[in-house]
Amino acid sequence: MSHIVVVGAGLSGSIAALSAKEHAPDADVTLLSTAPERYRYESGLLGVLGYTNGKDHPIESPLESFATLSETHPYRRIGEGAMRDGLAFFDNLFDAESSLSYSSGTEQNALVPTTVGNVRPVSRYPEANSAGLVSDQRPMHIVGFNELTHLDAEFVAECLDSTMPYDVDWSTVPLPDQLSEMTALAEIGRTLDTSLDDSQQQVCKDLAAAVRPELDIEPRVGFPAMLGVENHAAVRSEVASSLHAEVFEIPAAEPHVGGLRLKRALRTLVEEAGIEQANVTVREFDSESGTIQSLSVHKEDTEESTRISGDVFVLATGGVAAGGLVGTPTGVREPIFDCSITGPSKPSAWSDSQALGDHPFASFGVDVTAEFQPASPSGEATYENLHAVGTVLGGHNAVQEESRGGVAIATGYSVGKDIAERY
Amino acid sequence: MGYTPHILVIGGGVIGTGIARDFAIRGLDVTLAERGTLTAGITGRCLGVLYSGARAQSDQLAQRLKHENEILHGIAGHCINHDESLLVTDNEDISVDELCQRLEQRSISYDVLEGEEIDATEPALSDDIDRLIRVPDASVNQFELTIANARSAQRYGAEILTQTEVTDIAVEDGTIDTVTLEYSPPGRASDALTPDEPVADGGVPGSTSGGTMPGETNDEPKQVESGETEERDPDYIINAAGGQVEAVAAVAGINMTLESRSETTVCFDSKPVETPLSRYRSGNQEATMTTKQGTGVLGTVSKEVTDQTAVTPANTKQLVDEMKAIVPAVGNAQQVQFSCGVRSTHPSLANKHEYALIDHGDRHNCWGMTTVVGGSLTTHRYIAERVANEVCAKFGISRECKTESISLPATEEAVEAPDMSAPESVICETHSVTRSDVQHALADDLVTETDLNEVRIRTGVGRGGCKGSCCAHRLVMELYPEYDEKTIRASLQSFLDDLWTEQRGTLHGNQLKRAMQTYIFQKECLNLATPDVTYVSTSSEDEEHTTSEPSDSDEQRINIAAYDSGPSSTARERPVWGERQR
Ligand SMILES: Cc1cc2nc3c(=O)[nH]c(=O)nc-3n(C[C@H](O)[C@H](O)[C@H](O)COP(=O)(O)OP(=O)(O)OC[C@H]3O[C@@H](n4cnc5c(N)ncnc54)[C@H](O)[C@@H]3O)c2cc1C
Ligand SMILES: Cc1cc2nc3c(=O)[nH]c(=O)nc-3n(C[C@H](O)[C@H](O)[C@H](O)COP(=O)(O)OP(=O)(O)OC[C@H]3O[C@@H](n4cnc5c(N)ncnc54)[C@H](O)[C@@H]3O)c2cc1C
Repeated sequence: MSHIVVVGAGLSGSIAALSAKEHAPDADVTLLSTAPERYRYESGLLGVLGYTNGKDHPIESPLESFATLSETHPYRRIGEGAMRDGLAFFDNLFDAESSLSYSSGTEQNALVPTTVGNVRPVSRYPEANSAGLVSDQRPMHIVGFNELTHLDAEFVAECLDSTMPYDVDWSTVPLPDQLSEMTALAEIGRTLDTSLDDSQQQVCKDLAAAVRPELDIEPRVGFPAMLGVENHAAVRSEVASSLHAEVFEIPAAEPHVGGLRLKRALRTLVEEAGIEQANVTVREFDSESGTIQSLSVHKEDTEESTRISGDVFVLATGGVAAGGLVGTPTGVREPIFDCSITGPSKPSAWSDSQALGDHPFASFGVDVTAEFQPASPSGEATYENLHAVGTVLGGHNAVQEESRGGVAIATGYSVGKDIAERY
Repeated sequence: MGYTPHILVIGGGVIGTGIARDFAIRGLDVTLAERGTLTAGITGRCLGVLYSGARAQSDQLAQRLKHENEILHGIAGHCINHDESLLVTDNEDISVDELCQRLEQRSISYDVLEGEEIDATEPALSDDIDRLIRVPDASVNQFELTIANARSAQRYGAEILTQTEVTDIAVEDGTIDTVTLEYSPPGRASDALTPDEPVADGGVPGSTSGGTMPGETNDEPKQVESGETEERDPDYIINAAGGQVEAVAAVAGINMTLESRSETTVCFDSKPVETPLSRYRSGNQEATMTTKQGTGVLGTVSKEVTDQTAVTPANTKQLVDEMKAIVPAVGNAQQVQFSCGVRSTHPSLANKHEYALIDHGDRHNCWGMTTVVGGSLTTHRYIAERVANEVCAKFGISRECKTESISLPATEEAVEAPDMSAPESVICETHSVTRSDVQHALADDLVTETDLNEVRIRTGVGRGGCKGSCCAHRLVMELYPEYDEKTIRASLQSFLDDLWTEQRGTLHGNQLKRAMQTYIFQKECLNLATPDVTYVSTSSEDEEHTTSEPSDSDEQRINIAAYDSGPSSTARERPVWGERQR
């Protein structure tokens, strides 16, 4: 029986662990990760491929656009078949019966509104966002609150109204008293969660009551993302039934409730699958003749280290945003295995002069072999039993492409399956 | 005297605004042109130490600094954050006793702290330090000070033009003739992605009566006029463009060769010390730590600049090590940014307070312009006095300088707090900046509203490590609906680019991590950079191809039906209006 050790419990690591367990139910799978603080930065909306080179508007169908990607892009390495399987695996995990259900509708991208009145192409979106697609052509009404500066409803509505072939209306109303002192959307979300225990469900009712007089005939009403963290489905449905409208959220500020929900859902799925999880940081490793033997891990605030040995290891530590890659004055490093990194080494060449330009630092990452083993500059596997998935993979600007989610899902699934079958 | 000369001051740093103020108080006609925001140059990057003369090498300079320090305490007390600094001195250079002796001679007040007193005053100092000196080197908020100078000048009739660049200075027969000013604030239509596209209301960008005139009421959303130029005919020009004096002189065809030096400061995420302190070294090599809007700033390392367009931070390791030796916490504090100020100087200027006035009439046979080289924040008022004396003499005017006795106006008194009918709400959680703080900043008639840097220097938004990453898009909404959507976007974009310019010089460690998180948020979650498109709903047959759009417009028409329309659009029925009526 083999032991599969995954480092990093973001989307890619979690999917890799789940896929490995699914394909090798007898294997021991361990998922190691530092406290995943960074979920707070994620909205929970998943892009597979939103933009390709040379186009400045969202592409319609991710799968149909693969041919335009470079040959070293993870999608090209995986191939379309495995890509579809990966997405199907995700859809199955987050289907309508699960606690957090994601849409798995079409192969087309969906367009969601952003808090600055723009649109964003996504491929997989949670139920909380599904009534709010701007590519759904029904009129919508956007609600903002006097006390909250996260979303200016008038601005968003006016921008959408002038670019969309349907009416977008807005209103800005006061928050119910119980919420009016709160400034963080997640705090409001948690208060709404607990309010459902109260048989009157007063806060949700008050929230809806403040909005109701403002509505015309719009069948769908958008709020800043704050409608519950744990009991989000119930909170949303409570507000929706009071308003006689479908209710959706627009991701507004960190910590994102959407990210917190996905984190909880992933954690539960991993637990239910019988995968062992540990909140630790991996710092070092031991190897013998090109094979990794064990990892040395540290618990959060202790200096104590323990060793975890395994047969095969998956590097899913994310990119520079998650600590999977670190910048130093002399270059970017992958801190655990010191894998070789693609991209310029001089910090002065790391960035574009415009804040939202195509920054080379967004393409930093490890280079891999056809089996997704981190590769040396000459193209050989650095360690025979080490594989890399997710944002730690380099060579493409996944932020610009809107492909982070899809890369995480597809590479996590595909590598998890391969190693399960091989070891 | 019948004729009042018109003086154009180029540069809205502390020195330029000081000069404008002096001339205005003397009753001359003054226009100040600053190409960006006030303090956009070196002034915004300096440490803000108001020296007392304690550290000066010569007694003469010490007396000058002491005098200016006292005057500024008198007229600009509200701009001073700390009255004193701590000086730690290593015996190898100059001992505490020798320094005390020097301070006695110069009649500079001081006290010596020993043992537990040190810990009580500044707990962050290393235990190894058993004696140090407290001197009246004060710490000023250079933003407040510069704005106060400009406001004072304005009260005496000066015209203050920000976002206004001097792009040409014509010279006729050896005399300054007309000057071209270009007004180009952020948020103008040409910043937006499609300049030629007609706006929704039927107007054309730039043709509406935009502008930011105070008190103007206009029901139409405002737009910013694009790249307007204007000619002026000043009698005399003062070139106080800081690091760009050479370039400004070159616009008038004057070739000056100066030395450019960049000075690097290190900004921290936290505040390692409470009281400003320095590790004293003779010469210009001392390490100084001050605090700005809640975060620590350590300076400076100076290095020569050969290419003004590619200024990189100096190696600050030695500087940090120097400070770490006396404040161990500095070693652990997160460095968030290096900031470089480039100043023009001349080899003949012995120290950083010294200045030179170059009269181009004498030097380059070009009457009507004087360039200020060098100088410091501490001596800015004195320099202004010298400049005004010299220029007034040319016009036969003998009015006294009064700047030392007229107080500078404080922002709180000068700008009426806006009447906020909406409840108070927070825009930046990190720096506790509220909507009314922002509205207050915008209410200032010195402010170009679409320049969010104005809000930044007045409120602290976007300082420290976060660089406005979470609040910039919320901040800009304070301009809405007064300004239209395009202006809002262009203004935000330009603000983010400014913040980024400051940041990108030092992308390593946590700063790279932060930059990536911000990039993800702004690029994906907000998707700030969406170009101009209109979404249409058509089935494929009846839509001609997008290329048939007029070529002068970048606007694209996108067929929305080609995208996922979601699970609910067809499945469910529309709610009926009546249902909502209870
Ligand atoms: C909650 C959530 C929301 C998302 N929202 C979006 C979205 O809005 N748009 C989109 O396109 N994609 C989104 N995604 C997908 C996400 O972008 C991808 O999951 C991510 O960017 C790439 O995933 P990753 O697993 O490679 O890296 P990450 O998600 O960055 O995860 C890396 C993990 O590794 C851990 N780690 C790093 N170093 C170590 C170490 N030395 N030892 C132990 N652990 C370590 C980190 O703590 C982190 O938990 C979301 C994912 C999640 C989980
Ligand atoms: C790192 C550092 C730390 C310092 N610390 C201290 C200190 O602690 N104490 C002290 O006393 N002094 C200090 N100084 C010195 C002091 O900051 C400067 O001497 C002073 O700020 C210079 O002001 P200025 O008005 O001459 O220049 P600037 O502030 O640079 O002003 C010039 C202005 O001209 C504008 N401009 C340029 N070209 C044009 C154009 N064509 N048209 C219109 N406008 C134009 C620029 O945008 C700029 O705003 C420090 C300097 C540095 C670099």
